[in-house]
Amino acid sequence: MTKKSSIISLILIITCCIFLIIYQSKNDRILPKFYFSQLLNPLILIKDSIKDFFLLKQENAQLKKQIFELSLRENYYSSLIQENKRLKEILTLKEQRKDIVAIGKVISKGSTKYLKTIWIDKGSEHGIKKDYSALTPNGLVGKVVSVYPESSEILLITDPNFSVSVRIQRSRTEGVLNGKGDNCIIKYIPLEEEVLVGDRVITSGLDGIFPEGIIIGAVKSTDKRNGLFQIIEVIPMQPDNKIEEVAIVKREK
Amino acid sequence: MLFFAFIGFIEDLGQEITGPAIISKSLTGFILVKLTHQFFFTWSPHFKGMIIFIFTLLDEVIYMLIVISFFNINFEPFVLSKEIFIKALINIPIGLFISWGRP
Repeated sequence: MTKKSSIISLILIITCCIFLIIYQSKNDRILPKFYFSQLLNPLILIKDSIKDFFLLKQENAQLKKQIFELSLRENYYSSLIQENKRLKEILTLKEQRKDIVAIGKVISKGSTKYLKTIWIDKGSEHGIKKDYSALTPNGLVGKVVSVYPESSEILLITDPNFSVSVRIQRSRTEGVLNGKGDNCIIKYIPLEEEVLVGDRVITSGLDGIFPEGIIIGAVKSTDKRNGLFQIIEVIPMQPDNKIEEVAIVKREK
Repeated sequence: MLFFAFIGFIEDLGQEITGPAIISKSLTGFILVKLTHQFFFTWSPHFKGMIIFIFTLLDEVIYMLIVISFFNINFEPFVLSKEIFIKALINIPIGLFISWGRP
């Protein structure tokens, strides 16, 4: 390219561009803006995907940990709510009965495999004595069989060694209730006495140990086939495996 | 000449206005070519660096003058000067690297 032609082409280019610029300054732009970064898009996409993968992995681990912590917390709150409900019930019971000497928390199950007993965290230091009754808001649980300064052992009503003088609430018929493992049975109710399934069984107070009128359970079935007396099966109102707090009541004088 | 115009066109594509960079690059390129054809200069790296710096400034100034004149776009003079100066400084090592071993 000669010197002259290069000057001409420069003038030509500049002139054309000036026209273009003047046109663009008064009207719209001729060419849309081109983003050069778009050329790098696939590379950026790959880089972002790899970055996202590691970030998501990390985030996933964090979220799993968070879920675990939250579920633990939820379980804790749920148990607190249940405990609160139980304590409220037992406090209501304490307000109703003036003969309650202590409210104890169950700390362990029976001392031997032959006896159905529970241990509570209150003992003689809290005014508990042998043969005192143990209740929950649902009904009778058992009686205190051994007392230590800071703990006591309670024989449950379902233990075969347990007996209490009872009454059918509807008919006022009296009998003796014994433990039978899972449930209880009432003995010494004559065949002619009418006992219906579902009848409520309460303490009669005649044995001098348990206060009168404490609910024990409901009649499950009656058997009149053997001997002079009916054998009545009773389901306790308070299941053995759901006892967590008990109220200890003074012995009847 | 066409090469410089093409470079300017590519730069303009990245902007919204077509033309200013073509003019600035063509003019700067034209002057640069004229300068390189003068045999009385000794093209040492320092001199090359100085030329790159001055021509980058020239290119940017032409570009800004066109944009300001035709499109009534206002710039903060200090910020603009700083940007152009930094750009010219950055262009020195790049220009030296590209022209390494050439007269």
